[in-house]
Amino acid sequence: MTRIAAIALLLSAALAAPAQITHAAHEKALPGVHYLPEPIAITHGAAQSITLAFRVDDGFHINSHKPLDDTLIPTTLTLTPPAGVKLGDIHYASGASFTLEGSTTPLNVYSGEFLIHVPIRAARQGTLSLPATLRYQACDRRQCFPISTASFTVLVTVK
Amino acid sequence: MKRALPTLAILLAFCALILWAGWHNFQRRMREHAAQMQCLGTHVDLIPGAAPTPDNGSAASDSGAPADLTNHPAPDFTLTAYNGPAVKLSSLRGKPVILNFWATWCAPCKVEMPWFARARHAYSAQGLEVLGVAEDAPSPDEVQQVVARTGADYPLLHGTRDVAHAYGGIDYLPQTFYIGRDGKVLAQTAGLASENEVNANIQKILATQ
Repeated sequence: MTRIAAIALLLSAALAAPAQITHAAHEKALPGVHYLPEPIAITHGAAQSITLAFRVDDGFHINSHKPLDDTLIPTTLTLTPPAGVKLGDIHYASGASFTLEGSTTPLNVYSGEFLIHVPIRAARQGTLSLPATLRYQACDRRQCFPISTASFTVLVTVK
Repeated sequence: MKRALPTLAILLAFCALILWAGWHNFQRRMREHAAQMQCLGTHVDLIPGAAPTPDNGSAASDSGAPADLTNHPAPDFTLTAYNGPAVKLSSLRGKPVILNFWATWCAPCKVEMPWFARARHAYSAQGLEVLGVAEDAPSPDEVQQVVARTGADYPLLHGTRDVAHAYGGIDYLPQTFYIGRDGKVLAQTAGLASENEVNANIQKILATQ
């Protein structure tokens, strides 16, 4: 009897323990643009601005939102607000001037980390899940890669 | 045994309670984990085209490097042009040809294009021809903008997936193939080359018989 009780207790304790979730190592074969999510909290009913951070891998750049050449692809963020959420005009970071070897025409690019600010007003408290896409076109000093549109989700806590 | 029954019932109830708590805890953690992964797993590769995939018909090597066509016959094609009649590559046999893959969104491409245009004029007597194959289906207005900016007055052709495939996938730009008078690729460059390298490759194809 005592043995059964002990086994039952051990089994129960094992199941009640915090779930151990292993994260498979994700090896990135190619450089990328990364969204750097941080906890975002706003107050309901008030007009505020949230800041989204991104990082371009070393050695690469993407066009800024104003790349100085009409035929280049500007980096563009699109957010889809749910009902009860209003978004304002997105404010993009200024890019840095960059000139390719052999050229005299400067480009305007993002490299390393860059920020995008989004004015927001949420009517209700809770957790907002904002579907987002970032459209960009990446190059290094010698070559350019196809246009990419990346989807991700911005989580915002509304207090 | 009768005396043990209440104890057993209490023990079973306790176990059931712990099991329920464990399951509840597990579900909550899974929900949190899913939300966390949704939030944190949002990086995307910067170079989606570098690795060949079955659906884009890429013939590039597994490393994403372009196929080496050096000393191989340049794959033939017929492509329509933005600024003139359609061009069949094999119809230019006997002429040295620079075949350049480009796109309007490719800044390094626009560095090279003036060099190709100047070379075409400089070596017109030797029959040098330049073909620019657009990989991004630009509008005629966009092409005109690029021509105005770069002086690329040579045939600018509408690229196709089949032609890109034949030349190794063209996963990034620019890529240029230097084709001798005999129709063989003598040199190729991937990415922005220096003007010296471009000129050296031009001399190679001008020297062919």
